[in-house]
Amino acid sequence: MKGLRPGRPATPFKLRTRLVLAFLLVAVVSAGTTATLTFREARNSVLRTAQDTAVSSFREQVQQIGVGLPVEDADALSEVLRDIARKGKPHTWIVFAEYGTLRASSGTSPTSTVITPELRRKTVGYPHGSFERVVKDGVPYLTIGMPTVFKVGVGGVLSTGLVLYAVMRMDQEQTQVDALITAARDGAVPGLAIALLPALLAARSVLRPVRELRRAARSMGSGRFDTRIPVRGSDELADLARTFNESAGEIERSVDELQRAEARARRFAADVSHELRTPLAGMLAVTEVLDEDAGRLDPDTAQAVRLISAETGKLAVLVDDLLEISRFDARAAELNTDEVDAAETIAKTLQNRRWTDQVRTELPAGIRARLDPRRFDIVVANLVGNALRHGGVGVTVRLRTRDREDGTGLLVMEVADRGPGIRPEALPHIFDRFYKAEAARTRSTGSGLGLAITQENVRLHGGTIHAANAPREHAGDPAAATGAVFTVEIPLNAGEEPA
Amino acid sequence: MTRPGRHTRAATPFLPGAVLLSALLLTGCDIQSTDAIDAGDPATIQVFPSREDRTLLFFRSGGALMPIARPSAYETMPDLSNPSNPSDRPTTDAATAGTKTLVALLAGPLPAERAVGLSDGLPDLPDLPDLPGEGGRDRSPRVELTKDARTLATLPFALSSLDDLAVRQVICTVAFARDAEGGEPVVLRGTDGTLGPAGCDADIDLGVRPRPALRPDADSS
Amino acid sequence: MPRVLLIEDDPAVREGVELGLRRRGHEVRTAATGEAGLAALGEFRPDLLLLDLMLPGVNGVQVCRQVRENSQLPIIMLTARGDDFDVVVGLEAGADDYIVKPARTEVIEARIRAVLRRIDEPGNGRPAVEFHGELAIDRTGLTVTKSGQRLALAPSEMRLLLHLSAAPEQVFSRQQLLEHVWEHSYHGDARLVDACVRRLRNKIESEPGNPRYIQTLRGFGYRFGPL
Repeated sequence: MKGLRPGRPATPFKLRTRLVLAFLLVAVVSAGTTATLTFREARNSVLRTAQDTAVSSFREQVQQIGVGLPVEDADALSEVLRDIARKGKPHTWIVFAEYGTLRASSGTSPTSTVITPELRRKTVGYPHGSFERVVKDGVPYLTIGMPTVFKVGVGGVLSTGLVLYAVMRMDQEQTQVDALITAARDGAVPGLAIALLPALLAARSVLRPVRELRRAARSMGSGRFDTRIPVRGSDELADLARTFNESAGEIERSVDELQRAEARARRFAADVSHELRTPLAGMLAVTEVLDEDAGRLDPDTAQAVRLISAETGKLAVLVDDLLEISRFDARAAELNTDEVDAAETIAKTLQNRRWTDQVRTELPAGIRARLDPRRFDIVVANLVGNALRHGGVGVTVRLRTRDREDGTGLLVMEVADRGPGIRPEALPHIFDRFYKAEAARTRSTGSGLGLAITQENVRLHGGTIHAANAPREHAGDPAAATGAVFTVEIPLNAGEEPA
Repeated sequence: MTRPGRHTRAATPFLPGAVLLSALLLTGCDIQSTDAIDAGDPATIQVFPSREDRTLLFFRSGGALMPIARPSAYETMPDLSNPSNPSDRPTTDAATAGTKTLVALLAGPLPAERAVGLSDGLPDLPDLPDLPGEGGRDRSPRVELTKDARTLATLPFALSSLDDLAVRQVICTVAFARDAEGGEPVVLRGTDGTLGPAGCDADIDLGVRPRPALRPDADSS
Repeated sequence: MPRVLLIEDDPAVREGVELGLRRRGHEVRTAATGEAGLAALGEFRPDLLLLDLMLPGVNGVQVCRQVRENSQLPIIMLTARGDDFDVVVGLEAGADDYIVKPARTEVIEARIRAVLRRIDEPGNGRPAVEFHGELAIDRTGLTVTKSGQRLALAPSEMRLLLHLSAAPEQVFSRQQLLEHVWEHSYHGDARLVDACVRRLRNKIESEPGNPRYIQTLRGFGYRFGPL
């Protein structure tokens, strides 16, 4: 989840961009190809028509003339050429003539700069008309070479040696071609713009399942295992959605099973405690009877009776603690807060347990905190009782306040002893249920749930609890060399804003 | 990391399309030059004087055969339309007309003709005889019909000194003097042997037409 | 010695508690159902009712309400820990105190004594009847009238009113009230106090939503007046 987050926004955009680009490219290629091919065909048709018209009409015009051989009079020839040029089709020509060394034209210059040697070679040496398209200085010209023949005898012809050339500017064809380009572009560009819409729609239709999948995956990640994706159609994305749904179903079943098993285990513990409580209530009510009358029984019976009485009391405490724990597990524990004086509350706890004489206190007055007095009493009693059991003398309870980083006030209570401290390897487990910090510890004290319940009560207040070994502050005092310190930090207004 | 790879993969299918497209667009727009392209028959024009009133001489200009149409005297023209005068019976008239034409060819272009770049390409004949059959009988240029109805043109110089175009000039001039189609084969006899028989075929390009082989003058008498 | 009626459906608890209390000199009558308990009330005339909340048939809360309809008999509920909701409902129904099972007999007896303890006689120089606004509080006769109308107050309500009115305008925290009125430990259930205050206000205040006699001091507790 964390690893995916940075790349997430870019990915769908990229996919969308690629899809749209691919779609547009196809559109561009097909539109462009069609437009280009159409354009070329149209352009060639325009040019061919112009050329064919020009060539056949030039031949026709040339066939109207008559010459003497040799052709001697350049001026007369020019006159003839001008006459031909005027009748030029589709546009006026400039007509040139070559005969021997004679050069004549319908224009001002007797020779042309446009006619290529290639065309002249082809025309002079070969009894056929030829044309060549020439682009000179960006202007397209059509040049036509037309050798002349005359009839000899029946059906025979003989080359006269007179060759005529026509040069025609193809401005108008260029204009037509330009118009074709414009038409192709004007057709293709809006076509592409229109293609953008289906491209976006297509990308959307592809991306929608992807988006749904992403949303569903995130929903799964946040614990909603009943997330499913609607399966549409039968394409690969639908397959993916189906696979996702099947996997989600498997996960949901597994998680359900786990949760049910855990709930069963917890409910079992709670049920057992509940069931134990009723017989215990009866037994506990009569333990006094046993204790009082034990003196009158014979010693063995009396010992047995006292044992039963004592263990019944411990069993009652254990069951009580188990029920408390199971309520935390079921999140059924309630915080009934009241605003109290913290020092007074702690002092009352010590006083009620008759610990006032054994415990040194540093309890500044006037610290008011909003907390559940009953639960805070349990916290203090468990910690102090624990300290007294393991640390013996020198138990100190300190109270102070401090401000957390976000400005909320914290109630800080430290319970320190001068006992042997907690073994480092035991520290991480000190709040575990039924964890015995000392292997040889007698089970005569506590239920083994005291610190676990303490921790749960602190957490219910939105606070924290830490266990540590005290720093060696009194180097000379062997009793102070070690010792455990439990530190409880609870927000001063725990009740008003339940964490 | 994966970025370049992804780009390559994405670009690959686009590449041929893009290349094709740009190629099409680049070749497209303007009017392009072309090679010289065949465009049908040449133009057939009128030549004056008309067929009956002219004599065709073949000079040359820039490596090409150039026909010249000179007005001809009526009496020298062979009467081809007369059926009583079969073509396989050569007449003295035809031979005389041929000789005249050949002599005119050997005399070279007139000044006006030279002015437009025509030349004869033949050896000069400083002592050209005025009339055939006169003077050095054997060396005088003449056209005659042989017994086997061939047209024979006798030239007063060595044939091997002539280039190909010159040989064709002579053949064509003699052939068109013989008849209007210029289709009859002609045998040339020079001082060094005989050539032919060969047709005029004036339209055929020089390069592809084989020059007739020169033979020693075996049967000259 | 007080006469105790115990309504409890579980035979072990019933017998155990009965045995324990009888050993301490209480006269104990037991009933296994709510119906049987209600029937025994008139005949046995107990000084105190020990009432299990979870009963088959008519449950503890219903029994509590029926008793409170015409009697100010002290009522202590027996509850199991975790039945928090039932505790609140029971207190609202008029119970004076509650005990969490399992409990030693000495604990049960201590509660019984606390509920039954007579309120201290008024100190020197105090008149037998004090007047606070419309209220007339007779500390000797343990009666309270409002505008001459006698109010039926349950024992815990009477003790709370007497405690607060003994020092008008003095603020008592819930913990203090728990210690002095209910003789609980300091860390007892403050809901006892709150439920009792609500019930008391319903009886003595003209506008329970805007109390005049029992005033709340947010964050500190309750006080009587100032009027």
